[in-house]
Order: sequence, then structure tokens, then C-alpha cells
Amino acid sequence: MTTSPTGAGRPDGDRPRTTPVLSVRDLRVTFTTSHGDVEAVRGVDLDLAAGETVAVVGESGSGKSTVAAAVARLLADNGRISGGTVTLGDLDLTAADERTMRGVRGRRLGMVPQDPMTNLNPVMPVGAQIVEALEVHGLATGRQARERAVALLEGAGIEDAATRFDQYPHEFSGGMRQRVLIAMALACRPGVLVADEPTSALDVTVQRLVLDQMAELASGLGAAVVLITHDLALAAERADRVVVMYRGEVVESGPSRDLVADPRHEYTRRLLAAAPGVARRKVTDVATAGRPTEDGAGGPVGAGAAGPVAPEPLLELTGATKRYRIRGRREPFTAVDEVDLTVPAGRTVAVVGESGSGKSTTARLALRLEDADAGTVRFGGQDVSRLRGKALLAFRRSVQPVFQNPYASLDPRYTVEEAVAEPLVVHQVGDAAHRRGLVSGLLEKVALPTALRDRRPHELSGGQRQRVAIARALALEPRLVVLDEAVSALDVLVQEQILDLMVGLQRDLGLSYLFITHDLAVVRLVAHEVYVMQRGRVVERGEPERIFAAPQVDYTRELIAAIPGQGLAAR
Amino acid sequence: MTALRTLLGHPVPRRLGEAVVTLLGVSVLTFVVLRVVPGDQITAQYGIAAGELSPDQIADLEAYYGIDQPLPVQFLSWLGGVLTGNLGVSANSGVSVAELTAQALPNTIELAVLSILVGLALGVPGGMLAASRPGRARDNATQAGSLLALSVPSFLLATAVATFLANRLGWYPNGEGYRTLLEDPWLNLQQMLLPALVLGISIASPVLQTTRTAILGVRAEDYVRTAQAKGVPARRLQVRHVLRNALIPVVTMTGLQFGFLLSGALVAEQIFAIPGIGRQVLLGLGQQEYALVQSTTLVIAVMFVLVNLLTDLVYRLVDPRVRVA
Repeated sequence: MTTSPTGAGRPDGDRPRTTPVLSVRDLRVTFTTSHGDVEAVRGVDLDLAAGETVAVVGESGSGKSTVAAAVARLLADNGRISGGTVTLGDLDLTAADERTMRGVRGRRLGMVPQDPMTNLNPVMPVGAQIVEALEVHGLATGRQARERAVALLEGAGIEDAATRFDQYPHEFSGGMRQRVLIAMALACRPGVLVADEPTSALDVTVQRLVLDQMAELASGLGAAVVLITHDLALAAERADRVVVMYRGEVVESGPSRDLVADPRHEYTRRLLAAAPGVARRKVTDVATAGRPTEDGAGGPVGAGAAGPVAPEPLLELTGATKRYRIRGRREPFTAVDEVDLTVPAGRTVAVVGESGSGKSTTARLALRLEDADAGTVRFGGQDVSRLRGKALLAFRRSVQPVFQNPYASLDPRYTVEEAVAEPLVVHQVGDAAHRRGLVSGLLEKVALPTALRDRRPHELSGGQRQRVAIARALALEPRLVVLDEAVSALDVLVQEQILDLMVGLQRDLGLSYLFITHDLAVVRLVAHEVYVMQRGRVVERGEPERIFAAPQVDYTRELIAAIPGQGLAAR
Repeated sequence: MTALRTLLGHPVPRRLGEAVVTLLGVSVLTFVVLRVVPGDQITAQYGIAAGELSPDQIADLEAYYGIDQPLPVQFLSWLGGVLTGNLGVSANSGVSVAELTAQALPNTIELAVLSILVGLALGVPGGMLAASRPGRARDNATQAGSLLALSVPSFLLATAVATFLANRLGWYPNGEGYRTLLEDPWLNLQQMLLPALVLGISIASPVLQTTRTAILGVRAEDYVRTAQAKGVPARRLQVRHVLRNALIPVVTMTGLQFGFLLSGALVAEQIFAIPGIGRQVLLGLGQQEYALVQSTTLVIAVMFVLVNLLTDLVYRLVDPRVRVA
């Protein structure tokens, strides 16, 4: 075998032995923006053999999704292929006219999009959307098309497909919708299936099932798969070969096993090290927290004294219950069901669960954005539901939130400085000059260059935005920070930085964290204690080490098994 | 049966309750406003001469019109009448309000339906045209035209069109007495053409804007790109995916406009001499005919509520997401 044209590849194994069904050579994609032309994809090579699965891995902005869009010639209006070729079988897609492309899309090239919630036509029954693929390519009509669509839905893992055929997308859960999209993409038995982050929007346990079903259906129908993902662990687990992209270029490619075992490129190494499933623990275990550690880093405030004496509880939920009335239903929905939870001072307590588990409602109770219907929420010994006036204001100062999407939780018209200073203004801390000084200090704490203070959110990266949100949360010197999926939307490398920042701030300021997440792998890195929630109840609690080593309930076991890259961690 | 139930869904009983409250509110409000306005049926009837009436005469007249009773009694007696199917009598003509309404309402409904049809026929394709190349000449021209149509008051447009056609072409179907659709369909349609056109043009403008915005919004949706990715050709994409979704806000908009039209297109009815519900209210107001105004307003309110229910129903048809109870 010859050397790969990327130069970063390996002598063998990174090129399929048979003629590739899809071959991308020196692909370049340019976007025309108000700041001039931007080359988002720069000389990408990719080969896909029949029946093979190749994963393209990269962070947001690496150009991985642009490659997918370019292959299908569905780039945004301001984007164009500025160089290279995309060969599907014997057809050069970069040179094909629109009419040819219409025949290719769906028929020879299936696409599975990222977000199942927005990718199905809301006013069209799901069955009709699959039948449409068969119809436009003249493969089947009427009863025959319906039968094939039902069979496809069944193959993708939808039970009672004949009935569900006539239902609309809003009657399906996210995981079910993604199954519909997979069935749709494979309806015409395309030779190549391009799946762009097909499961990023799904719960981990669902993600695993859907990926299994996609792989099964694709191989059953003889489609080779290009799997685009930000998750290196997932890629290595699912694909025969992995292509790592960074800033529009392929930096490394090779068989999954080799690439993970022996990453050649610095960037791949960093990605691997930062992957939560593999990365090292960032805080010291509670059990050992009392003992002095090498550098004393792990010892939370107040824990330096003798023995494993638990620090005083800062936040205490006792039998906390929250019910919501749902329109058209007589029985109220119990979002949080008799939850007991304690956050000791200076510790990080994580609440883990999938969507609908009640974890975010728990966070809202802790922040007193909602009042519990039963049970109590105490902060520093006081029942927060009783707080009024000044006492409530003092509570608001002591407990601060950081939310998942920093882009949505920052006012787009506020500069960084205004956003960080706002809580100070609201609570009338100092005068303008004093506040300016405080903001500088806060920006320094979260490692944001002071030069950014006049920028607005859209001029910042995702990681920078989340730092601003953390700086704002710290402005009033809170004792408890409630982080609701605060790192879930970030790329792994950025996520790692933010987690390091959190742990550092806890060490320096003695902060307590209530860390709400769906990602058990991240929890392992930062939490002193973990609560696993399912359907509003706490089903298991304990130290992360114990939870991972000996989960007590099936649900926790499922969650752990669903973390991609188990094999990698064990390595 | 089940299909109908899903379509009507859960909220129907509640909607009916809301409708009753709305109608009662409208009635009370109309009643109060009518009494607050200076003057009454007597002054309206006799004008300045009313000042020369003796107290006895006034008392007799008040008793005749029923306005000598305390206000709550007046209201309740009217309400009682309405509930038993008696809308009252127009004091001047002696014709019952029910009879007047039965003549006027069909005309108004016909005009409203025709105007909406004109508005949709101009607005939806206009919006599609404008959205086909956003920001380009075609878009700008369409939008400028629609803005102009919106800016020109309908009384001006109506007068101008009517005058032009009558003077230059000698065509003025509305000059002869009004004929209903049943009496003389051909003449009726000629008579309705101009007012429907004038009203339709003013409706076309918001319809066009809504359609344009909705199409541009839908075109950026992920599912449109996904449909493209399965090989759906342009025309089918435009109709089945883009337009079908873009029509949802247009339905809401049209329903609102339809409601306004049914409350009587006052100006158009007046200028083109169409005996509709709007003219009936105007007439009653001029004469301070309490029963006529009160009952006609109630009829208009009922129409409004019905149109809202109808809009809801159509909305449920075009958007499956609201069908769930």
C-alpha cells in the first residue's frame, strides 16, 4: 500500500483494500462572509469502502459537518466547493448538475441529520415522509411503498410500525424520531450513508440503542457509513477507521484501534486525554479528602482538620416534591418525588439523570426559582421558601446559577463587562469605578483576557461565553453555584478547561457546587458525591468511585454501560 | 366519529364557556356606551323639537320606548328578549331586528368571503413571489406594492375606483338598487366585484407579508434541507414542505381579517350601497335606536366568536401538533 496523501496516516490500514464507494480527494470548501472568504475545509481526503464505517472526528468548527454537506452538495448559500473532487462510485459529484444530484441524494447517498427534533416535517405523517423518498426516486408507490416503509420503520426499531406510520413527528420521542430519520435515509438502499452527529441530541442510553440499530440496518442494506461525531471515544468504538479533523484539515487517520492505542498527532492525544470516559479524576475523593494530599489540592475548605468528618451541610433538600399540572391530564405530573439531597460546604455534588429525570427541576428548587409542593429546601439552615425581602436577597446573592447554553443565557446586547457587572449593580455593590475593578478581578479569575471586556456574546467562542457566565455567577461571592448542564454543550478540550477552572475556583474560594448533568463520565471527574435520578426519584447515591465500581441499581448500570469508549478507559 | 373528536379536541366545552362570557361582556359594554352617549331615542327622533315636548309627553315617549325603567331592568329585559329569540324592533321602521339582520347578514357574509378570496388570491402568490428571491428587485417591488396597498385608505380607493368606472366607462352596477345573490346572481356579482376588490386589496397586503416571512422562515428549517437530502425535487419541496408549513400563520391571519370583515365593512358597504350589517349598525347609531344597535352588535359578536372557532378548526386541520387534547 502506498502512503496516505495526508501524510499523517499509517502505511497500511487507513486505505480500504477494495475500490472505495466514496472517495474524497483534496476537498476544499470556501464560505463567503462579510469578512471575506473563509476556507472552512482545506484539502480533506477520505475513502470509504463498501460495508465499511469511517468516523470523522473533530470539535465544532473543525469542518466535519461541512464535509458532509459538501459531499451531498447541500452547502449553505454562501458556501462553495473551491477545489478537489468527491467521487461516488464512478460519478464526480463536484461536477454533477443539480438534476443528477437530485437523483443521487437519497438514492445513492443517504443523510442522517443531527437534531431529530427539527429534521422531520411537522405537518406530514412520518410514514409519508419515508414513502416520499421512495416515490421521488420512482422505486415504489401506493401500497407497495407503504409496506416497504413499514418494514423500514420496524428495521430501525420502531414497534407497531403499521400504526405509527400515520402518526405525526410530535407524537414521537427524540430517539424514535431519529429512528424514523435513519429509516428515511436508508429507504432507497443507498450505498453510502452519511450520519452527521446522529445521536448527539439524545440521552446516552438511547444513543447507544439508536447507533446499534443504525449500524444493523445499514449493514443489512449494504450501506457503508460515514459517521461524523465530536466524540472520539464513540468514533473509535463504532468505526473501522477514524479520521481526525482540526481547523478544516485532516490531522490524523487510521484504523480505530491503532489510532487510539498510539495517537501520532498532538491534537489527537489531547482529544483522547480530555475525553471524559478516559480522562483522569480532577478532584480528590471524599474518603481521602481529610488526609493531606501531595499538594493539598484536594482538601476542600474545612476538611483539612482530622478525619473524614463531613463538613456542615450548606444546601439540604428533605423530601422535596414538585408537581406540575399538565393540560388535558387530570393527574399532575410529579417531576421531583421526595428527593433528599445534601450539598456540604466546599464540595461538589452531582445529580445525574436523563431527560425527564427531574434533575433540572431539582436545580430550580435549589435556586428557589420554584417552591417545593412538599418537603423542605434549606440553605445554611434556613427554609428558603420562608425567605422574604432582605433575607431573600441575601439568599439570591449566596446561590448563583450557570446554565447550559451560555449563548442563550447571556443578553446579546450586553458586553462582557456589563454582563459580569449586572449582578453587582442589582445588589448595589460599590460605585461604577469600584465595580470596574471587581469585574477585572473576576475576568482574571476565570482566565479571560481583559481585552475581551467590551466584546458582546456573539464575538466570543463557546468556552469564552461559559467563562463569562461563570464570572457573572461569581460576582456576588456566592457560597453555592448551581451548574445546570454547564459544560454539556462544550467541546471536550474546552470542557476540560472549564472543569479545571471549576475545580480550581472551588479550591481557592471554598465554593460548593450542585452539578446537574446527563453525563456520568464528566461526573466521575469532578464530583465528591453523585445522586442518580430517574423519573423524579433518587435511585442511587454515593461516591463516584463506588458508583462506577459497584453500581447498586440496574439504571445506574445502564447509564455506565452507555458511556462510549468503555474499552478505551479499561485499556 | 373519533376523527371528528380528535379534530374538535378537548377544549370545545371550555371554548363555549369562554364564548358566552365574551358575548355577555360585549352586550354590557354596548349597553353602557349607548347610554353614556348624550341624547336618546327621543332627541334622535325629534331633534331640536324634542326641547318643546312637555314633561308628560316625554314621560309617555319614554314609556313607549321602554327607557323609563331603571337601567338594569332595561338591560335584563333586552337580554331576556334575546334569550327567547326576540331581538327587538327597529322603532323607526317598525321592522323587527331579526328580520333586518336576516336581510343584511347574507350580504355581509358574501362580501367577506369574496374579499378574503381576493385577498388570498393576491397575497399568497405575492408572498411566494417576494420570498422566491429575498432582497432582490422582485421582492422589493412586491413589498413596495403591498405597502402602497396598505397605505391607501379603502374609502379613497373605493371612491376613486367607483368614480372612474362610472364616469369613464359608464359602468356602475351599484347605481341600480341592490340585488341579492338569489334575486339576480349576475348583477349581484357585478355589484360585489368592486367592493370585494377594494377590501381584498387591503387584506392582500398583510397576507402577503405573512406569507413571505413564513416562507423564508420555513425555508431555513432543518426539515427542508433533510427533504432536499432525500432527493425531493424543487417544486414538490416548495409545495409539500415549505408552503404547507408556511400556511399555518397565514390561516391565523386570515381568520382575524375574516372576523373584522364580518363585523361589517362599514366604509365599503356605505360607498357601494350594499345593505349589509355594517350599514345596519350605522343606521341604528344615527337614530339612537337602542334595540337595533344592541342586538346587531350582539350578532356581530356572535359572528366573531364563530369565525374564531372556525379558524381554530382550520388551524387544527393544517397543524397536527395542536390536535392533541
